[in-house]
Amino acid sequence: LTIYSANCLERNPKEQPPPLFIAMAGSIICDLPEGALVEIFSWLPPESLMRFKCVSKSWYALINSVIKNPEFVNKHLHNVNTISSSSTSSLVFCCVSFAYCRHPKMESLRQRLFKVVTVFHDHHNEWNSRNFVRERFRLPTLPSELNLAHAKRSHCNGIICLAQGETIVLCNPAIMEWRTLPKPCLDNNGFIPLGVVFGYDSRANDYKVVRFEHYRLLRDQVEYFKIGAEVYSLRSDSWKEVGIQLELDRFPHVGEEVFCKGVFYWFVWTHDIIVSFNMFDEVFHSIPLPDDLIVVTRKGHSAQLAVWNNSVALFLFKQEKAVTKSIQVWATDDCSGGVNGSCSWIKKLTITPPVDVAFPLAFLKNDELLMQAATKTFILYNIRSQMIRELSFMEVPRSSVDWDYSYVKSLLSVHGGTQPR
Amino acid sequence: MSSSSTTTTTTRLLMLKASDGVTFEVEEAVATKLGAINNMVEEEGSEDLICLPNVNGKFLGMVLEWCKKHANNNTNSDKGNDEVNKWWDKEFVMDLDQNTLYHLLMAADYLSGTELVDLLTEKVASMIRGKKVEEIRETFKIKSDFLPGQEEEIRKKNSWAFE
Repeated sequence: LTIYSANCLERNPKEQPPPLFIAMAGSIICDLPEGALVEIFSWLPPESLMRFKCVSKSWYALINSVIKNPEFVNKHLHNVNTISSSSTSSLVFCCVSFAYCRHPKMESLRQRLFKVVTVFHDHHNEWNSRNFVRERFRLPTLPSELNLAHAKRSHCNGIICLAQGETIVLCNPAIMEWRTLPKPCLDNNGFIPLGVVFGYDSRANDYKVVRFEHYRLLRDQVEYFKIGAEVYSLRSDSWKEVGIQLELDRFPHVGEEVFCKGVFYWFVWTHDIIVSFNMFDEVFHSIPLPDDLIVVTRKGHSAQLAVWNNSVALFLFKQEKAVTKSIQVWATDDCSGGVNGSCSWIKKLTITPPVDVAFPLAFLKNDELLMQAATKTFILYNIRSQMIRELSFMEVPRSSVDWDYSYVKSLLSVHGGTQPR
Repeated sequence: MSSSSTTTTTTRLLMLKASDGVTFEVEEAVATKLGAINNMVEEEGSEDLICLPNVNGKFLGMVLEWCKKHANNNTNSDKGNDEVNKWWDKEFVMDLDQNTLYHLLMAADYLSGTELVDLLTEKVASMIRGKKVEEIRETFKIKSDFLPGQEEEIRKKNSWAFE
């Protein structure tokens, strides 16, 4: 810290003296200390930082050095999260899926759209500013064997994980980095992925990819499905198999995963169980739904996992003529990954959408419920203020948009910060 | 711990003297929001008068106004305080001109007011975020010192950041 003597706080003589600064119209900050400049950089979006490398040799050197500094990258991520949590809504991103246009004539369109991730976020300056701002990121050149139409997607802290078969790619479009991961270990044994997710283990300070997969077997000419799992660690750059004691009698259908307090959850709706994976101890659990909820799901209700109020929740809803009139939200008090074998579920909310919706998608924040509208647009409904926003996107075919939520732009390297190329 | 003889129930007052001789009488709890002051107070046998030869009265006053607000709002542990602080911070930086912003940032940095540095650097970042390279050079009074061709090469490598 600054040296002082006799109760006088003096600058360290080695530091620059405070500049004799005279304000000029429209100009500031000609000789800020480097530390303050780095603090300013930590609040800038990645593309601004990349662009500002061109300002001068010293900015070029400083920016190149800070983006390789894990402490700075973490501070930057923390700041990005601070900014997005103070806005009225989180970021939403969509990635065009192409199951629909495999015709050769569509090739050029596919190539063009394949390369774009579109992020929508609130322009958070005014109370009544209700418009989403659109940003587009070009994806880096991905390996050709990766067909985005069928890839499983997941993202965490700005890194997007795309997985199809044994090809798994991490990419950070905000800094235009991508990398193909080593081949998973169980793939050769006939396992086919049910879910591939990417997340952060805050205790080990490591990023991990979890592949949760099935393997069809016959026993006395009756088929059954063995469930397997493996985990990739960015730090060790390798895969390892993790134990999961689960066998299912028919093909498992798995819904979208959710992540809550270090644990991933998948709802296997064909079997009324929730499978959880704890990122810290790398242990799987299978949690049966309680009987009273199974009764509801058998009566034609759909169930879908969500995160509400920092706990795992289920949307229960019933569609009639493609419209959902009422959505129940059931939450667990403390599920902690189903370590105790079961969770107690409590009905917390019953939401009546004020307009016609097809189904709920997710809570963006505790109060903001994102729903797919019956007319193929999206509705963001604040359950407290009852304000509604319609989100529609003109430039992409609505039928072929895949959604995910809460994407943040970060400087995190897909190389784990330790092995830059 | 403070070594002064005041009991814990009495609020100790500190005198802070700016470069232009202007003095401020502030409660210890307010002034110690600044890391540099906090360190001095924790020193054995510190006196109540602290000279700050690198900050002038105008900006020291503003820094202390911020400290006071945050020290007061932190004393009652109401949950809504976070929101109140956020609103107040927003107001605090809303209409600062560039010159004031610069001096405040220098003062906050010098006094190790970490939270205030965060607030001010975020404000500066929000002002330069979308700017072009040329505008940054103008704002920061920087001349490009790249050799011919070097800048083009960096632009080419990061072309997506210039769209």
